[in-house]
Amino acid sequence: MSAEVKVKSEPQVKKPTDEVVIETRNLTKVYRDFWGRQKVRALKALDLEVRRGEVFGLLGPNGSGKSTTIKLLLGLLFPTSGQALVFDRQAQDVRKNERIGYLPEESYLYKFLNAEETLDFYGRLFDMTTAQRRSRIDELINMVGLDWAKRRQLKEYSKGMTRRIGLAQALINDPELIFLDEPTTGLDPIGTRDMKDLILDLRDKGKTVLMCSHLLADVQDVCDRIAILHQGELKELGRVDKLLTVQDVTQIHAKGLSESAKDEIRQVISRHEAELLMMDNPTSTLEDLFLRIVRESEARPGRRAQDVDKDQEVDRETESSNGDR
Amino acid sequence: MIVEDFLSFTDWLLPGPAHTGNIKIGAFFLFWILAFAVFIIGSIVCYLYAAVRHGFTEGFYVVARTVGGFWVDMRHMSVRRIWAVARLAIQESIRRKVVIVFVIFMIILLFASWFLDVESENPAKLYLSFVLTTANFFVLGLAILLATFSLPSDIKNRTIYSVVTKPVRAIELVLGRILGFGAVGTVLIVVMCVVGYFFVTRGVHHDHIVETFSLVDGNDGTAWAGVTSYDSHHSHQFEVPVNGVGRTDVVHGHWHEVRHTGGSEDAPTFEVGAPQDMLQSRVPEYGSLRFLTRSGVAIRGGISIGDEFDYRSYISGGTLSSAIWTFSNVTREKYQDGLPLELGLQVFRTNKGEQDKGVLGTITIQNPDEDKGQESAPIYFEAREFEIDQLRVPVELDIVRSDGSSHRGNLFEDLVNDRNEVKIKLQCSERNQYYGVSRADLYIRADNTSFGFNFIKGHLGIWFQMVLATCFGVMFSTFLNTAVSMLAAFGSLLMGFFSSNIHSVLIGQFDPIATDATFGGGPIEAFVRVVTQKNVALSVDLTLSSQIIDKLDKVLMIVLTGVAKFLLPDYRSFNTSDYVAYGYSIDPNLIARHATITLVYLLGASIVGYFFLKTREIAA
Ligand SMILES: Nc1ncnc2c1ncn2[C@@H]1O[C@H](COP(=O)(O)OP(=O)(O)O)[C@@H](O)[C@H]1O
Ligand SMILES: [Mg+2]
Repeated sequence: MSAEVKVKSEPQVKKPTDEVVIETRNLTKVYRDFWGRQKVRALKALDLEVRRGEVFGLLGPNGSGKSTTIKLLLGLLFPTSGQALVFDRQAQDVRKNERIGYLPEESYLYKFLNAEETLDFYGRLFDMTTAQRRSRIDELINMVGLDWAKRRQLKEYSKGMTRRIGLAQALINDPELIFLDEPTTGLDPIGTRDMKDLILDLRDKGKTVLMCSHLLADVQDVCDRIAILHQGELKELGRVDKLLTVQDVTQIHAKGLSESAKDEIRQVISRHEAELLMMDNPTSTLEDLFLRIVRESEARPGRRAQDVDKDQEVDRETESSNGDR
Repeated sequence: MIVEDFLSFTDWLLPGPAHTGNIKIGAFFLFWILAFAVFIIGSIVCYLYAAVRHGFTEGFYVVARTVGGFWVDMRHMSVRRIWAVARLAIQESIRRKVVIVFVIFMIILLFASWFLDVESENPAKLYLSFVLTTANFFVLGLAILLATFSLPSDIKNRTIYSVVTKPVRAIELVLGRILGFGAVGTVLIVVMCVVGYFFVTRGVHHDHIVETFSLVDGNDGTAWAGVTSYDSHHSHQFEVPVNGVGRTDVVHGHWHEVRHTGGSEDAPTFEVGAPQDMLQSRVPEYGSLRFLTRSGVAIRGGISIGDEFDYRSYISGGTLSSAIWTFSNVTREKYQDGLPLELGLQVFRTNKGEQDKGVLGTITIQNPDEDKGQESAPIYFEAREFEIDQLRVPVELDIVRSDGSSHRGNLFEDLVNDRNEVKIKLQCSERNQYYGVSRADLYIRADNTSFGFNFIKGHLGIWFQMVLATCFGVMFSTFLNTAVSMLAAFGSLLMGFFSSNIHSVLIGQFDPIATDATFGGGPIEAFVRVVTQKNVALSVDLTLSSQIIDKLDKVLMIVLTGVAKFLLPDYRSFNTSDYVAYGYSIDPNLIARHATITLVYLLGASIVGYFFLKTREIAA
């Protein structure tokens, strides 16, 4: 993932189809202890359908059953009752694995292998030939931006680097369906942005993505549809744009308004017996600022960022994180 | 050396009449019976488990699906994936620093050369036993450690998550690990074999010089006789023709060539060669054994002298009591210079006799065809304790007919019958002395093979054990955690080592004749006795609970016996180090058997491991 600004060419983006790739029916999971006693009801009667081509987000606080759902769909856990179907097959069926990729919560990889060996190992598990593996590995290592560290053992990797190689391993077979468990944890803002761009890229290629996160911003930015889980129960399900649209509030963005013009608008609003909720200058997010500084620094290494927007009330005297990479 | 097993590969594999009288079904059919029994019992247990979890009908479908899935998975097996898993296992072993084992092995060998350098009747045996046992011990320990650590730590570290979500099959994960750790074990064994070979050959090598000498009247003219220097805890006596080559006597199982190289009459020079026959690999041809009682009646065993170990039977001296071997495949082509016999009898003295002399005995060669009634004149020899006596039956020898007349005859014409069989009768000549005799104690030394090759064959035995231990370790690790699967693997190794003992102990519990064998009862009764501190000789009161305990004990012991005898490999039978140590070539029949058994366990352990791993909830 290079930190350059991705120029979004808007090609013929594939739209979600009606084909259901993931289906859960009444899916329930109760964790039991060694003696078979009930410990945690982690998931309660979940009904879900994910269609080909969409980015589906599972949202919920820690311990709400998101990872449990994903593990049930992968066959790492067996349902207590109900069914989990992937590509119309039982989740425990190994054959579905040909077409899926999975990025676990944390990248649990073999620490004694280096990046290339890791991807080579997983490539072999897909029965890929040497030539196929070689080109795919180069491509992926390049994509996740680990060219400079591909010969180093994973035990020397930072968390973010491990995450990147974990992502590469999930994509080794160019899967149709990708499960991402908390894809952005452990990543710096650039990594997070790259990850989000990548998810959108995957969607543009017609892949289906099921991701879970407790980071609301991430989900909001990339997901087409979301399900909100709380204590193992499905609380809300629907399209993100629909769910978030506040029907009775109108938002206006304008540039170059004079004070008198603003007063006029206030009068218009009160004349129509509507309530003015807010009118002030917008602030950018810290994320935007940070990304701009880093990119600036990469373009002109060794210097402090120059053209940060003059309107911003930024303390220029504090050190910004430039020139360190 | 103790040899109890003379079956050829096909005899072992196929059904046939056993020597003990009862029907022997052969390993092949035994395997299918056992496999069927394990399949049925396994299915029932699995069904019961599934029925409890999913209900009676659904449980049936779950089991059927799982078994059906096995065939689907078998069809999708891929060599590349198995090899990927194997490679990972090898890399993991390297990371776990298996090299350390080898370093420790080397250090032990270094120190061992001090305490192996002792006075011994058979130094070669000492060295060989030590090297092979140490290698065996190390390799088995390492195999179990590697095999039982791998899967459980993958599951614990969750590295298994990104593996089992790939199209890799459970059987590939099991087989790949066995292959990988097997490869690591193989490399280790090869290195240990090479190092061990040099250790042994260097260890037993020694030189002598000539210490004292004098001229004597030798067999052909005058010769030098003398004594060599005392080196490596022994010296030799020798005789060399003047300006010729002679040899020393045999001490500690070897001899040296001595060459008179010249010098003056007063100061002759000699050259003593390297030790000969120290490391050998004899190929014995065994016969079948029958006994005659003191009064000359044929029976199966000899006289019991109350030895706790009934491997040998005893024949008493100065009576008609005798041991008769029947050898087959005795042909003129094979034994042009006569029959080279070797005897490793046990001598059991009831009086001291002449301590430095052996106990006198005779050997008579008989024609197995009764109607011919011909036998050789007795050949006398002296049996010494702990030594192998060599005897050559000449081709030309005196033949005695049943009517008492004798003539000069030929071994192959008069004593070997048309089916190339010959009988050899052994008797002890000294009254009140006994010979302890087993089937392997008298054999024809048919051939010699290279010691190095036999040494490798001995390591093949270790290799089979290593593969078995790896299979069991990996199998246990598919459903147990590291510590428990390690315990289970070591436990099965111990039980496998003692499986024949366990079997006989347990059988003794049911033997109606051996009443004294029921001391202490079975495991539960024994436990109750330990808890209540009751002497094993006291019988428990015949209460209801004691009867229940008794019944439970019997069931438990049948299960234990079954497991020990039929399901666990008899590791000890794989240990062929005695053959190498005592200088006998390991029979290819035995190796073929071991290879077959290993293969069967490999398949069995993989399949069992597959089902455990497949039905295991990895992330729970
Ligand atoms: N292996 C397990 N054994 C017992 N309880 C578990 C296990 N894994 C998760 N849980 C419990 O199940 C609930 C849901 O967990 P999880 O699905 O991991 O939540 P999250 O939404 O944070 O991913 C939590 O209460 C957690 O403690
Ligand atoms: Mg989670």
